Amino acid sequence: MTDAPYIYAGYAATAAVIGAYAAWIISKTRKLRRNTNKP
Amino acid sequence: MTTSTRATRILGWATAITMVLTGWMALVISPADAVQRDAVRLLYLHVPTAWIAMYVSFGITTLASALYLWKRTRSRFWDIAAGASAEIGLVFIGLTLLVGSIWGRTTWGVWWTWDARLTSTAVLFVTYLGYLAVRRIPHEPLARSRRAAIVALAAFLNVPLVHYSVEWWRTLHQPASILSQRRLGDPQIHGVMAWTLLLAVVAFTILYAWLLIHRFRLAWVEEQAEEDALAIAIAERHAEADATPEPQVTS
Repeated sequence: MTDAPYIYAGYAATAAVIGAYAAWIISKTRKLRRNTNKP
Repeated sequence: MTTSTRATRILGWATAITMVLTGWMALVISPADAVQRDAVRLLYLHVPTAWIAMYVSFGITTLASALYLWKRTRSRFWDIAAGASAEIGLVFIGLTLLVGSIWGRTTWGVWWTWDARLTSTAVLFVTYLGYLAVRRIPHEPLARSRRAAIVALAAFLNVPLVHYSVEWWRTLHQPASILSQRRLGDPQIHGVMAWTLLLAVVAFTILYAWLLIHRFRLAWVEEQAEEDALAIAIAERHAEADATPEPQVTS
């Protein structure tokens, strides 16, 4: 594959950004759930 | 309290499966382009993220903002939906710029050039970043939401500018291969490449829907939690005031 490092870097960056964003949403939800469950 | 339901879990699995299929089609099955060689594989990320960001995410933000501004349909639902959709659009358009920059390095030999399409897209990114900043300015909630909705309508004016930039100016960026009046009946992409691009568009659309539902529910629950916390704080202050003994008045 020509330009393989660039192509894989593009796919890795996309996966990292979307993964980080989704993880941020999920972690924020869990944090909120913990706080609201406090007596 | 959770943002997940059976429907969103199914949507999540559909996202994962279509994303894996897209990766396999894009990196293994799709042939290299005669001109761009293997760099064409980056376009299976660059094009769908751009389309979903501009025409779906920012489109829904604009529609929801208009519905919020219209008194008959005004509700917190539309304001929160506008903000959630814009945030996802910003992530997607950021990826468009990032992957496009990598593609530019392999094809043009530069990471960035002040081409009309690139510049207008960068302006679009900054504009929606500004929109999200406006949403966070502390103010009375109704006024803040109204102000944000007006900014959202103004921000969308840049979308047609980005779309037509490759036709209105002489750009280094290639003209539209599919989404133009000239190309709609005669797209400049065929066979496996066209199917891979179509699958990528479907995968990113499902991803967008999954993210939107979760982001919307999170924002909704956050707002409810803030209102509950405020109500508790007010009740506590009232209780403190009631418990404080009245000062003795002496004559």
